[in-house]
Amino acid sequence: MRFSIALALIALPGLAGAQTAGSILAPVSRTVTLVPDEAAFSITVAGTLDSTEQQVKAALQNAGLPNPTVVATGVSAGFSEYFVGPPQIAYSATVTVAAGSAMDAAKGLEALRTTLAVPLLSLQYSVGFNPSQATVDAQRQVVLPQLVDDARKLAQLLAAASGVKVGAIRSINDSVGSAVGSISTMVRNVITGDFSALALNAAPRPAAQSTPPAGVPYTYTMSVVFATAL
Amino acid sequence: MRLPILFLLTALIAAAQLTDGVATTVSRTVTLTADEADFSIVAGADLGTTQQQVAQVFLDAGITGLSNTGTSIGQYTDYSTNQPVPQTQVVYQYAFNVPAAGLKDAARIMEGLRTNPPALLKTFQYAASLNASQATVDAMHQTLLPQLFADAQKRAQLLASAGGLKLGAVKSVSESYYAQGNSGIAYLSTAVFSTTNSGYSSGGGGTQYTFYAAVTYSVVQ
Repeated sequence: MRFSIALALIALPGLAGAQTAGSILAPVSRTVTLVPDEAAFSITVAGTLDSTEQQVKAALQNAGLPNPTVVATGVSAGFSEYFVGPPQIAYSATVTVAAGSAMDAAKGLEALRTTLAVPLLSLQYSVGFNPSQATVDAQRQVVLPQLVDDARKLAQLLAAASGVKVGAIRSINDSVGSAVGSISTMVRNVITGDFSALALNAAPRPAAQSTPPAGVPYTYTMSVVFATAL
Repeated sequence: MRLPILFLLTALIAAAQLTDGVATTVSRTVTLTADEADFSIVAGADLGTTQQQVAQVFLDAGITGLSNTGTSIGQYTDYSTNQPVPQTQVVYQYAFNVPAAGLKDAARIMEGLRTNPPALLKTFQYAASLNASQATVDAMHQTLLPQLFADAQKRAQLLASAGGLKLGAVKSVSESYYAQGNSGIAYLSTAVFSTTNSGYSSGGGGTQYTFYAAVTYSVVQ
């Protein structure tokens, strides 16, 4: 059992009501390591002014990415703030695949990148490995009873020290969050098209890890307020 | 003496923040249809040039619904000459929007002005972002609310069960939403000037929205 206690206290309902039953706040948490079973691709594509969302979606699907969500985000500068080229339409696409399929999807994107043709002009992407919502929810079901037990034990400890008895639960809430955020393990930043002569920017950045991390720590927290009796 | 006071103060604050019941927070993130193209314009002219004179340039180019969103005076440097020359200009900012389908036509008009600016414009920048209109956001809000409540009920039920409680009626509700916003929407500008005022940015709300609901249920003993 592990308590991560930021605050544990006996909260009497005001000085005037000190003789009535008060309450005990018991905040507890548990951190567990979840398997990142999902790979979320964030893709940025630039196309000519005549390009369409459908063309971007089709290119990504042909590259093996299933059912990408593609939205045009606006008009962007052709190259950079220093060398302004013709305006382009900027697209943002997201695709989520099973973590085990991430490498195949990345290979498909790499193939698309190296054969990118007008009206598509550039492509960048990053991948974040995360536990799926289903995994996070399933773990919540496991952890919730443990957290309630932790909270009750903590409340009893505090009550004994204060000479009161623990009563019924008055309020309860919980939350869950990644302790480290999404883990991005692979980034490609590639510019193709008319600006390939600018080697500094045209060269792809080296890929980082090519496999998902072994686990992502998630912290489940709970706050329980117990009624007390003297 | 200080410690007991701190303890009591903390206890009172904590008690004030907690409402009896089972509290749960849920959210859903959705991608909305981009049905609106929002343009921002930053146009610089010689001191003494009026806002109406500059606006007329855009009206003549076929832009309608223009609104003046700001005026400033700034110093710009002309790098097109051997010796860069600083110039002081009056800068007018404008905004207009068109349906998303009109993005390309409006962008072409802007591009024409950028690549071949009329003599009145000493500097010119524009940016365009595609966003979900308020009507689209409101419609999604209405669609998602029942789903958020259903999510909240499920989560609260699980929590109540873990605590050996029985869920009662809804005691309080609060909800909100926020837009992630567009990023990477840069201004396209005339190339020969650089500005000392780098505060301009554009992007809009974008299309990705997260809707939240916090629901507290009473406990049936």
